[in-house]
Amino acid sequence: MKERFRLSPQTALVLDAFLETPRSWRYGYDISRDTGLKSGTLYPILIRLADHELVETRWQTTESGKPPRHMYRLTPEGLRSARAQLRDYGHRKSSMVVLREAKI
Amino acid sequence: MSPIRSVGQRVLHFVVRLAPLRARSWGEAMIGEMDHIDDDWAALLWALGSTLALCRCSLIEHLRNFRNFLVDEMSAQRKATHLIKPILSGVGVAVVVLIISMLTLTTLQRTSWVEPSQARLAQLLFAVAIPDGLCLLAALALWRPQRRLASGILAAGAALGAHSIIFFVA
Repeated sequence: MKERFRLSPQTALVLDAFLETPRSWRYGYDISRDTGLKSGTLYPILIRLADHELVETRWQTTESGKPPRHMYRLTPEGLRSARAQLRDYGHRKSSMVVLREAKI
Repeated sequence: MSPIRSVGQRVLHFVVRLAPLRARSWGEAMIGEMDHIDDDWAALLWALGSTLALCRCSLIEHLRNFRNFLVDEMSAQRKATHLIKPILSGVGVAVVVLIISMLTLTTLQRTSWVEPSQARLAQLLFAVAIPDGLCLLAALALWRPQRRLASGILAAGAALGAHSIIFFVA
């Protein structure tokens, strides 16, 4: 397995969007709308997740004459990793909030 | 197609054409997705964002390829050094043997131990027979444990011997 990647807030958003419907295929634009991330932020994250074999991809041919669409879904490993990472991230985030509030 | 969308699509197509192979498939995914966005301005923003992402991805890919190229080059260089070093050492050994032999001959001639009538025989002995014999023996002894070193000694011995023989025959 590849090394564990750094979980940025944007990556957490993407993983969270995937976890809403864990086993269904998602389009790039749909994820972008769900997360509010622009394509310039979303695609590097998707590429990195695919490099780590956490996301699998496939092409979907369309009948309306439009070009095929690339679809994304979490792999079983990605699903496990996403859940674990988001859990850790949630803990980290809440402790950071506590620290920040303590400083204030 | 509206001009706004067209501009975005052209820019994205241009970057995709220049992108390395792996990044290109992601670029095609971005283009494919753009055609499913109804609003023209949203499509343009999508194309511009995708262009940035693709440039970044291409740059990383180029850097990765360059790093792999450097690693391969260094590994090939190390392999070549590993091959050539013993052969050159063998050549060095043969040259040292020849120099010692020639110095001995010069010393003998200077101290008048060699009769003038035997000068040619002494030259043949010290310039060809002894150094080449030693090189041959060393090469045979080292053939199994140090084949490359032995090849170097043998090659240099043969070259020096051939040169000396040509000199004496001429």
